[in-house]
Amino acid sequence: MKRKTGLGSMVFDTFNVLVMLVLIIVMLYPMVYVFSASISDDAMVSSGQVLLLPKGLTLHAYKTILNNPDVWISYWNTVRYTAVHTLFTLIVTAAMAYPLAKKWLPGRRTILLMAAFTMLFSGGMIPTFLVVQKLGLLNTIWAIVLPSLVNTWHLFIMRTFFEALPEELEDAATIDGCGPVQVLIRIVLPLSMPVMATIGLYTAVGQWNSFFDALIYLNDRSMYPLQIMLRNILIAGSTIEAESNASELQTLKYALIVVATLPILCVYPFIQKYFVQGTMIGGIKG
Amino acid sequence: MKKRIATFVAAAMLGGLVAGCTGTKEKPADETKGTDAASKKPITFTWLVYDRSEGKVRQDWEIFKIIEEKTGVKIDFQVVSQEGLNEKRQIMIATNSVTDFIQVTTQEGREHGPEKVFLNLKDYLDKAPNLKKFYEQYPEAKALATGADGGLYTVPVLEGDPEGKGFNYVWLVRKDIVSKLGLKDPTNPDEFYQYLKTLKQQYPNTYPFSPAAAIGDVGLYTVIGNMFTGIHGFFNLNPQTDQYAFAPYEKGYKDAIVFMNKLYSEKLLDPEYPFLTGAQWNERIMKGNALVSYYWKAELPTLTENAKKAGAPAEFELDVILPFAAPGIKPYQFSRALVGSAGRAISAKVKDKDRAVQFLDYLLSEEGTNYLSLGIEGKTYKIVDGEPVFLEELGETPYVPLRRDWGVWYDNITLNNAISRAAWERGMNEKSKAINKKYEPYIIPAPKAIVKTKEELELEKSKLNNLNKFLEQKITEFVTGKTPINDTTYSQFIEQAKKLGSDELLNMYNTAYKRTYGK
Repeated sequence: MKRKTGLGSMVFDTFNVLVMLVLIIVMLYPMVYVFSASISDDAMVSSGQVLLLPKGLTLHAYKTILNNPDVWISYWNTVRYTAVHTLFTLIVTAAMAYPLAKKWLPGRRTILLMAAFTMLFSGGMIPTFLVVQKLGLLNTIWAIVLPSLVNTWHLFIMRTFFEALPEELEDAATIDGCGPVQVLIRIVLPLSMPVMATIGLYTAVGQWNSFFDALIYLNDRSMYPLQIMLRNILIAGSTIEAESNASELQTLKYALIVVATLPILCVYPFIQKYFVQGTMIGGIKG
Repeated sequence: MKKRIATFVAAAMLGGLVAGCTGTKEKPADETKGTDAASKKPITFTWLVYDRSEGKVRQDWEIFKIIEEKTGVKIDFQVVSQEGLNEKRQIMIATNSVTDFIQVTTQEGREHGPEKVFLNLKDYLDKAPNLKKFYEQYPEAKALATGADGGLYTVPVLEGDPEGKGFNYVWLVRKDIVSKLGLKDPTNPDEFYQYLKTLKQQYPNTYPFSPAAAIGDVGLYTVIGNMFTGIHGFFNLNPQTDQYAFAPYEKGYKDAIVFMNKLYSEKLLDPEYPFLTGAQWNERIMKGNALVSYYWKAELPTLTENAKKAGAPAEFELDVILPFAAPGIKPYQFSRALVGSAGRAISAKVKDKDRAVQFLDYLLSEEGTNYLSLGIEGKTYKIVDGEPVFLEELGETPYVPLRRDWGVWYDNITLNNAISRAAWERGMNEKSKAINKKYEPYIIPAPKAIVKTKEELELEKSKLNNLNKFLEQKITEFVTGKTPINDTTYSQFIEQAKKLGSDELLNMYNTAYKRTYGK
């Protein structure tokens, strides 16, 4: 394919490519650095001699991390929390959004207003903690999953999506003998996969990255998710204190970052289109 | 219910008496500590701790097995991450759901103890001889533990020796370079200036003096300010007058700023000092880009070792120079404070209050203290000339294996860091010992901790932070030459500090100090 290229567009292209290259370097450098540092000798890293390529190649940091059962336990916890949280969020949010999408629902406005109210005001940390405590959820997976189960914003997105579905389809299903629940499960949900995927993804990413709930609601090391572990190792020891453990390995931090992000890095290219779609859902398409 | 407790206590005490009379073996004169059956009924207490980087908390540390055997108390550690500890503790206090044993700041103890979050230990002193002895022996600790209602709510952790000899910081120099140039140790700021200047001439690519921070105990402003005024930090006790002072009011302070400015403008001072991170500072020392600094003495061997591993020349050697000060100012360094700012508290909701206090009392006994701070004789420490020393195989930094493998000297568990440190320093190598010896004449006991009232704390909370930020920023401007230093600018600086409450704060510290120690 030949296109006429004027000087102007050539200049633009060159410029464009250069800017993009710089952008790529800026984005890529931290990752390369983290990786290089994770397989370098600790002394080289802490004395700042590793800049781009690894020096004094060693897998010591990885050995330490992979032999640490806590890493695997917390990995498993994160996966567990994320899966359960996402699953329940989708079920509950859909179950709430579907009736709210029906104009004839009595008290619809009130319920919507009450839901919107929670977007602006919350009980605050201590009251929420007390509720969780009194319900006996402390130190269980439910303390992580239940308090943040329904995100009002996601609820509204899903409701808007349901509203846009043609009502005739549901009428047809009803005539064929479907009850409301069956209509939701057999007709509406299969048609709503884009919004489910989007909300599922956002919830999953949010849960994967969250640490605060785990920090305050869990008391047991074997319950901690990966983020707590990461935070602990990355931030701890960065403050000056008496008799601190100066022999702690810098490389360990980098290796842990690699171990924690690698799965996401592998999965992300395949699901990123859903993120892009997600930002479009609910928006006005023209 | 009350009756039952009373009966139980009576039985326990009687049991103790009988056990005492039959005079059971080995450990003689280890008062009251029950080998009696009643007090050994198994019981479990929860205890909030955090995982340290040296090694995580374990339920099966040997010392706790032994302690369980002796007291029947099993500890269920509730582990949080180091970074989350404060938040967790605050939520626990705010919701009155603290673990049975918990380490809080003595401040939190005083504030929330009377609100029935923590147990009032005063009610139990008769049954807890070691606890009673502790408060009698350390009036400072008692002052810090006493709430507004007169109750005792914490057992403050001991950090320093009562004689006030242990210290943390030293002037650090590259001994190999200094002796190659034949430089004499400076004894006053002018000589120090010449010293740095010579270093700069010989090593033009370095910034000879690289402080690890701008403020704080090893910060530039603290160190140089002290050198010219004799006041450590912005607000502190003046050891000469036994009164609190605000360093910028002192007459030498302007000279200190001028001096720092001179170092800065002649490139003798690391230009990035206001925002160096710990890692960057380490890098400068190891690579030889910094030749003089002020730092924790304990880090000296590790720094040297790491630098050599990172390819520093074989002659790389760090050593100390003695503290020095401007003419008319006596150089000194405060020792580690005797009592720290944190203390152990017991939940007011603990299921068996007597057993909990009894257990705390045991941990404060000589035997209990030894387990928590020194470990097990023969396995972690030995007695040399009547004093405990950690075993040599634990290495130069014994706290790493001690914490990791033994649960000894573990933050939030131990009640006495002082004897751990003493045991450590006794076993140090010759060089470290020589450093301690050299510095000894300059070390004076740290100011005693002051107890502030609620209003005083409010004042401190509302003013101190802003004032400190202002001081840091303004002094940095002076030093880096952004604001010229003359009488007008300096008096403006003082004016502004006054507006931000320096007078009120200074007054408050003096009042609180006098009230706490009745002088």
